[in-house]
Amino acid sequence: MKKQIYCVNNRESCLNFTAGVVDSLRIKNSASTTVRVYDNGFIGVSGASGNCDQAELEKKAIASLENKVPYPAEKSEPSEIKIDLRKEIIKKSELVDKCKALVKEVAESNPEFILSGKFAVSDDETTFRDSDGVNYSCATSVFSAYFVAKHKDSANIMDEVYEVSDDKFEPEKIASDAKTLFDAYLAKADMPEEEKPIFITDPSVVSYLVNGFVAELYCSGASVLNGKLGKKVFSDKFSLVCNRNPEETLGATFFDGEGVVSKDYKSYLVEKGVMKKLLTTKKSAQTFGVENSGTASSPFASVPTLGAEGLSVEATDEDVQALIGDKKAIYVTTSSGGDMTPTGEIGLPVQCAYLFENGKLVGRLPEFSISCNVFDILGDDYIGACKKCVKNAGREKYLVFRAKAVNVK
Amino acid sequence: MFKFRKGFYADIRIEDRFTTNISYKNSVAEQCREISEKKAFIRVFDGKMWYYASTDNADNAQEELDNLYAYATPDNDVENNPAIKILETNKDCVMRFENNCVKNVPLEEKRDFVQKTAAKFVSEHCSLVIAHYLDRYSVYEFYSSKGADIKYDFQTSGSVFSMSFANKGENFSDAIQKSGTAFDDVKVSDKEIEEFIKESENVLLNAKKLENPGTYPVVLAPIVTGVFAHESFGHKSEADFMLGDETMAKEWTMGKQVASELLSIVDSGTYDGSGYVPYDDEGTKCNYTYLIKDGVLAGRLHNATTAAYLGEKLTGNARAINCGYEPIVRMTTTVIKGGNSTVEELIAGIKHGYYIKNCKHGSGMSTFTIAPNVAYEIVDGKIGDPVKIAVLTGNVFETLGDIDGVANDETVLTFVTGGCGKMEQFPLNVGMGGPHIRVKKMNVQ
Repeated sequence: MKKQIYCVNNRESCLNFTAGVVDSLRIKNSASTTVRVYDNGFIGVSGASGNCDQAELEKKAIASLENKVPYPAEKSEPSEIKIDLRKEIIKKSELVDKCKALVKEVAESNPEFILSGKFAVSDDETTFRDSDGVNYSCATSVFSAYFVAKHKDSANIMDEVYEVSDDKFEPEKIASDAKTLFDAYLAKADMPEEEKPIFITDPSVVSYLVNGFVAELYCSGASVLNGKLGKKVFSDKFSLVCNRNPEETLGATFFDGEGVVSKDYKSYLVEKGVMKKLLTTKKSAQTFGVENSGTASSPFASVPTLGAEGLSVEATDEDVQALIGDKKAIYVTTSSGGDMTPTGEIGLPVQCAYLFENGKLVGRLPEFSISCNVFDILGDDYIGACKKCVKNAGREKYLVFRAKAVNVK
Repeated sequence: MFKFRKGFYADIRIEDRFTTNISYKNSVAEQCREISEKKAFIRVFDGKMWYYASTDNADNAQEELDNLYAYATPDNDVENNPAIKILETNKDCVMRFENNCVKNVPLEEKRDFVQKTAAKFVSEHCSLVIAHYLDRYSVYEFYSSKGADIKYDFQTSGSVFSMSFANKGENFSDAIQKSGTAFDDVKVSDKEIEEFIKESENVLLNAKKLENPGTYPVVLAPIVTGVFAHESFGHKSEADFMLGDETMAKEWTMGKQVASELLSIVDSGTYDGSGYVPYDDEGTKCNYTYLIKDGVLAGRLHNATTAAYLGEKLTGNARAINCGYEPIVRMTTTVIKGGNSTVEELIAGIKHGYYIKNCKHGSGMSTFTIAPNVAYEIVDGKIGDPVKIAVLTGNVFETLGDIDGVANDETVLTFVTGGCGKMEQFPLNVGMGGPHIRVKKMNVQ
């Protein structure tokens, strides 16, 4: 009988601030253990939070084999890898004072806004062991913060959000970035007059496409990417990858929920415009006879399920200037509520965006919607992806493409 | 039971949660599990800051409380802090589901139900059927240094059957969900299955592309009305957005006309189902709060901090998604109240517009959005062909004023999937609903 043990430990300190005043500290220590056993083509699972008796969990997992949930059990090669990137991003004793000082500085630099938000510092450790001799461990530290800004004269519940996450705390850069953004909010700008202006967005617009890679949907003909596996679908410059390298993807675990480690910790769904893979677990890869993408997740006390941790668009250039030169562009910071039709038509309401010119934010644009087709913005209208644009702190990436702006308010 | 120290306010919330999750894909079991977890969340307030601790081990709550005191500085006047002063000290035990508990339904019986029902979802155009059964039984306890001592239970149960259809390169997916507070509520009739498949096939084979995106009159079905109420106005009624904000306090003066006089919206934890919250996570008894009454701003949603700040009454809306988080101001069940028209009358009044039957999701800021899944064209007062619409948008306040028809078929809905998200806390179980409503103009894209 094959056995797997998947454990997650999390320690987090989180500060909340409201209207420019730090008003709470939350301390969270959590641990969870999931045990899976495989026998006669079936899987049994159990799990517990906090301290647990693993022998007891194993007994429960064996008992749950009675539920007859089919799952393949492949023999693993013995392997041991440990990556520990944990570090003290902010000294525990200084966390409250340093964050209070940063909130004070950002609030004083941006007196036109009421600021609320959170700072969080977390250490996570994930381990995977199996009865074939696999023993993996990955530990990371992450700092994250967001400032929700509401203009003092505004009747909206929020007007702009500045977010940052990194494995270091750089208060000067955060304060400077926040001021750049909030200053730009105060200036007004006109929409570029081109029929298809250049957009700079976070890569989340790609998320509309992700369902199309799910093996069950693709193989049942219900994917927007039907018939495209192995074919050139997108621009040569477009690569979509699940990058689990914790040195490159903040907080990532280098192995998936089933202990699969991809080459260089990366699994390409699209490489240079060619659709390379479907998203699978070991089970769905076997069911549909396709390559396993190594992207399973391991929810608490659950059979492995499909995931896409570390999903990112590969950068084509370091800096946005290399992609657009001195051309005007629209830098989108808030766009929510959009969706895609089964033929790939995207309607994406944009709540906050700025005119971007010569490497700088010029001013805030009126609300509008992006209207495009996913195969166009990642095809002929795709310009590239970069790591640097407006912010100096954090590890964001930016997608750059042309599309129509409609319903300009 | 717990030893609280003087000079601080403190409370302890414990949840003992049991869940079942069963799923099948194309009649093959994917998941079949029951989980029990007991966790605790502890809060200490010293008059200046709140200190929170979350623990996986509820039996250690006293130790966690003692550790948390070390962060805080005692204040002998803390009980006179306005936010502490208004906290209720209820003592109650409301156990409604013990005799009809989903824990007592054998896993085998639940699994048989899913398997047998899933087998009825058959269509020549469908190659993927995913069936879920989900239930939850929670027992909450709440104790505070002011003397609150509350115990209540909560239960939801539901089934979701989703089908993915494909035909000549076109594809379409939809799901039917049956939810309630008992295992018997999850059953789907053969007639419901037949009608669901027939409609889905019609959408797959006949849905037209939206030829002319623009502004049109729309009729929203109850589920879409519920999403609209939640996204367009519910979030704006959460009073934590008003802390330290004089502009908002002036803008949101009670008695102000904010919507069509046909519109009334309520939020209440008294409704059965996913938004049932007899006591919130600060121990406040649930209320029935009108947010808008006959088009006029009538109330907003509070925790103790916001109620004290604005000098208003508690509403029972301090909620956390689980014992990993602190309670913040959240909705419970948010409903647009029914009117006097019939659905037929709403549709008959439209020359060219759209009927939105269900939706995938919604969002709300100054502009709200709704992403339809099944929508139909309305031509000359009659429902026409299905149509593919990516998103509906509108300015919240203009749209609230543009509601010109409210039907008499108010429906309150409960869910076992999805939920409400606010900043880091997702998903929170909420309910929503309303009747069919007609809006004079919405942007259809």
